[in-house]
Amino acid sequence: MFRIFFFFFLTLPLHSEEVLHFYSSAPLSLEKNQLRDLYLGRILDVDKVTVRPVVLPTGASHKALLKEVVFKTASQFKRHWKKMLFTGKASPPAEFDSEKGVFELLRSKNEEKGIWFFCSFRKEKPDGVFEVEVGK
Amino acid sequence: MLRCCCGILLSIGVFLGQVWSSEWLKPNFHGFISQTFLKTTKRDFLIKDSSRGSFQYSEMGLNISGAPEARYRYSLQTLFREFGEEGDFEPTLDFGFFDARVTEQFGVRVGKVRMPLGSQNEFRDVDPGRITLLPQQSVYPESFRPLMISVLGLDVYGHKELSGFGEANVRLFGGSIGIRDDFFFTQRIRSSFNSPNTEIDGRRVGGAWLGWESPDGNFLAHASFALMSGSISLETSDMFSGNLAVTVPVTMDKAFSLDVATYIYGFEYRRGDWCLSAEYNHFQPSTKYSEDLKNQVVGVIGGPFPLGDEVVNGSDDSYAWYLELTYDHPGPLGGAISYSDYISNKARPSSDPSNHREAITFSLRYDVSEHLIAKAEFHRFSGRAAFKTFATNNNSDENWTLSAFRMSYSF
Repeated sequence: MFRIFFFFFLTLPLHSEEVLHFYSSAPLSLEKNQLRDLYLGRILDVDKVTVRPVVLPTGASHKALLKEVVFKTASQFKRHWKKMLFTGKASPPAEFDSEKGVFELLRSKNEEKGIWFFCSFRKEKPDGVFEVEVGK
Repeated sequence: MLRCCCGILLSIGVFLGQVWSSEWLKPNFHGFISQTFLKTTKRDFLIKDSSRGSFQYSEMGLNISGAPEARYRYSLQTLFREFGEEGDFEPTLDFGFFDARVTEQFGVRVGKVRMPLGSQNEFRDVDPGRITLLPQQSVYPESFRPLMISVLGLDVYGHKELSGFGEANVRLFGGSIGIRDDFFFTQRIRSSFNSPNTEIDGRRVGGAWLGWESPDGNFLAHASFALMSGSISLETSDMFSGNLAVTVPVTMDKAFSLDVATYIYGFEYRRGDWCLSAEYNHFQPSTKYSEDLKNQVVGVIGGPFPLGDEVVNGSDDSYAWYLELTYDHPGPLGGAISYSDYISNKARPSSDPSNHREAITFSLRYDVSEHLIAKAEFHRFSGRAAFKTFATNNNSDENWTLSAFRMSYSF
């Protein structure tokens, strides 16, 4: 039986030439709907491995992520997570102020049993992190 | 007992935090505090003496949650609340459950969980999660919060992608509800029957929530229901308080039966920063004299039972709906406008001011900072139906207003 997977390093074209890339602390493959579910806390794991997003709430890449993947505005995303938090369903994504801090986090979490991942416009994969394979 | 449970659960959370040294498996601590000022004209509504202005609407919650394993999660929240004569800042376990996911999409929560009814019931206390100050009072009356907020039992949940046709969500819940002694309906029975020890024993509740979300996430349609069943105890020296020639003492655990059914249907449509939503609620409460009580009374007075079946006559089977438009600015400002209507008794004419209550509501939200929120809300009501809440001061003027202001802080 043939099962063909078209993995590609994220192809979510935006209005400009900028393309969203996802980087993780360990090798990770995700379907696009899994990405959305992870960002919204609807699923917390992939194949029984905890997967947790990290966000840069003020960045342009975050706005693009919300528009192209999560389908919510920044305000809606924030309110969604307040609801999840104060009903105990899930904890919000970890927030950072700079990409540098996020990549340091990803590098430092290589040995953990769970996986952290992050969305960026950055084309070149930084050392010590992995690029997420995103399926259709 | 409840304080003891809260303490034990908090201790477990702290202990788990020490055991799992991994940074992201440590428990998360969050909380909120809010103070509301409420002022009505011409009659009291929601809170006793609201017509004179009241600050007796305060909440503080402390929340701890964590995930020791990928598919296992615990979460609990202690709530300190004052709402008029209810609460008095006594700590209560707002929710506390263990969540086990069977697959990525399906799981079960065991413990005290929020009751998923409509789009707002589950989140009615989550002030930072919405634009409006009060949840829509026609569909989610704040006086009935103790009855509808949570269930001690099971919550089975799941969602399923429908291959290009959006996503289906389902929740099934069942268990028991615990009703505090200061619930307004308990107080009302105590007063009506001169029975200071009356308690409502909310034993069983069950229901479901079904939702469908469009592929782009902009449209949500949902339907939900809950069926509740319980009993009311009575301990009075004279059930009829002088209305009959004989004295009828009654001491009985299940003197009245209490059954409540509620059905809510609605939708949300989002376009950019705008959201249009509507909901319809059919609410059917029923309080009846038990056969044991009837037999006891008949035995004393030696004649037919002098009252009908219903303890509270003529106020059952109500319905309500609202239409709301919200604007959620990317900056700190947000606003909402809504129209709602509530009919307290379907059998009576809706033109009767004491049987209906329509409202136009304006809401404004300002995020002072990431954690601090200020809200203001103005309701203009027409009609006096007040969902069997506090007496409405016998003022016959059917037009009245409610103004509310709130500051809340969450972290």
